[in-house]
Amino acid sequence: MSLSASGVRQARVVVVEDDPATLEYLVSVTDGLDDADVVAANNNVQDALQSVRQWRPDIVLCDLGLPDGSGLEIIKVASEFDIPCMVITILDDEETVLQAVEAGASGYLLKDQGSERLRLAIADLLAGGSPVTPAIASYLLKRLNPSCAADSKAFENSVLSKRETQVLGLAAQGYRSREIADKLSLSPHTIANHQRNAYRKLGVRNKSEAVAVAVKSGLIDQ
Amino acid sequence: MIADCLAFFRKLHRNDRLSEVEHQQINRIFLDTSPLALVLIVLFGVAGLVLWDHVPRVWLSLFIVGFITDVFIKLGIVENYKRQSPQQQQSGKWRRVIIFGVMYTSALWGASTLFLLVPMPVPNLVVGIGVFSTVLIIAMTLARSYLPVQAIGTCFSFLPMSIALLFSFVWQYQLLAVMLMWAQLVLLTLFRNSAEVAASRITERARREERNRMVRELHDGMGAHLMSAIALSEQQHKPLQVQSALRAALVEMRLLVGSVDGESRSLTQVLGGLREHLEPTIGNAGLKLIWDVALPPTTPLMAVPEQLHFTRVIQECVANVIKHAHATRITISSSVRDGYIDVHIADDGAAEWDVSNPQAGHGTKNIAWRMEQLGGEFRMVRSGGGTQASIALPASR
Repeated sequence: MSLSASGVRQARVVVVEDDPATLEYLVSVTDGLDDADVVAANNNVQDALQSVRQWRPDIVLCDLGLPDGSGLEIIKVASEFDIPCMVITILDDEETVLQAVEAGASGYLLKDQGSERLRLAIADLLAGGSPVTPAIASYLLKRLNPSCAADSKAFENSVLSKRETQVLGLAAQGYRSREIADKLSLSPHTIANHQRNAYRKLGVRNKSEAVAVAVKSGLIDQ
Repeated sequence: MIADCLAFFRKLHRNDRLSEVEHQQINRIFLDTSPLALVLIVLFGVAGLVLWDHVPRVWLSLFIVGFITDVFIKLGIVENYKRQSPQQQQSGKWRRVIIFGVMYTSALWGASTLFLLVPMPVPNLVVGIGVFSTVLIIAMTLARSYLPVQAIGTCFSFLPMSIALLFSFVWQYQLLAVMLMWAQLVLLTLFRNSAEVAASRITERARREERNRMVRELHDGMGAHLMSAIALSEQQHKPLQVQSALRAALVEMRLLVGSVDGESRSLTQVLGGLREHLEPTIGNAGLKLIWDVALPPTTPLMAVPEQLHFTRVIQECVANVIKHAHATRITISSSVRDGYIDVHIADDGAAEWDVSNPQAGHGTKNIAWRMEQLGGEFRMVRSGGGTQASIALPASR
């Protein structure tokens, strides 16, 4: 962590984006935050991986389509170092989003959401949360709790807890974290926890499936 | 080739969609093997006719070859059916029923072939009639409802098959039985070919329709927004409107990307996603968006065109409120009543905007048409110093 002029501890941020105008925009929004400092702004996978290893940033913001590869590679490396990674991209179709979450992304934001949303999302990520958009909430619900029903029986087989389902259900309907906290009379911190857990559960489920496949195919011993 | 066939069976079982390459592979296997099977059938048929006096059971082999050919032909028909555009197909559940029904009839054929290896006493004639009329009825019903017209022929061709089996049950008319089986196999092959031609025509037509739809949506949606962005940027001091127009173009692009995979989305997904796009537009216009949606856990699935219609209706209402209502707030809420889910767009504007008002905006005349496509109702109510537009959608489809 570095210190800003005002003495606030500043989080190190690596930004990866290949379009120069968008990169400039992301850097200026991030630098505009009191507690964040952009330590590297890269426009390709190789440089970004270098930055992640060299700087060990607190968070990484990255695009998916990069000239020399996919942002997924950066997410995978960053999540090995336990660095939260937020995808900032143009498309939010199911496959793209789930690939990113399964690779270990902690957040997913669309580029055209406006600077206010971007600031909130970065702050959320720095606070240890996982910003959830309605689309992601739907995808996570669909993947982790396909029955999606509110009756208690459905939860016995569900990967998600009742609260997590509730939180994701409201997020899927378009509610922001703060509004969900108000509606459920919970602290924003608790909401952030539920959201982060949902993200992780998908990653974990994915890993355990990978392990099961590996065991089955004799790649690793039981 | 056998591995290909097995992989194909697994995919059928999982109800996955096959890639274009796999379609080609399967079709190649199908086309490669069916002439061979036909030649074998003819040879066995001839052998059966010549030899059945000397080797009475030869004709049984005909049943076996016939069974294998039948399975292949039906696979081909199901496969071609699956190549149709998603809009023309039935839902996953019904596709499974189709596949099951088609396979079931073939399996019965195979089973009865084995059954025939044991000479049948005459009383079983009744059982025979029962089994085969059931098979016939199931196959016909399935075919009429869920398969392309050409496939019905396949099931009709069960008629000679059933008669052939009945005759052979009686055990006296093997010659007639063999001839009927021949006729059936020739029919099956003919139907297979016509089904293939028809399927490729249907695929072609579906592609053309899809292309036209895309062009229309691109023109009306993204094109229009990009055009207004250009127009706005020509005028000075309108950066926010330019932003709104460009955002709207991006929303359109996402909708179209979503429409390429043809995936159905729930009302929750569509409405929840809309907030992300409406908020900046409404905010830039100096209004506040109040989100008060409360949808049930399961909401109706919307096909791609419906998603577009629904989105457009809401966008149109919001655009009208911004332009004409002199409002400070827009509230989007939902309510559930008997059989319907209502989505309300309410404003606090002094001026009433009305879809029937020609000055209300060019796009509003589309609302009625789009609501008709959605199978819903659109109502407008003036209440408590504002206007409320309500979109009622059937809660289940």
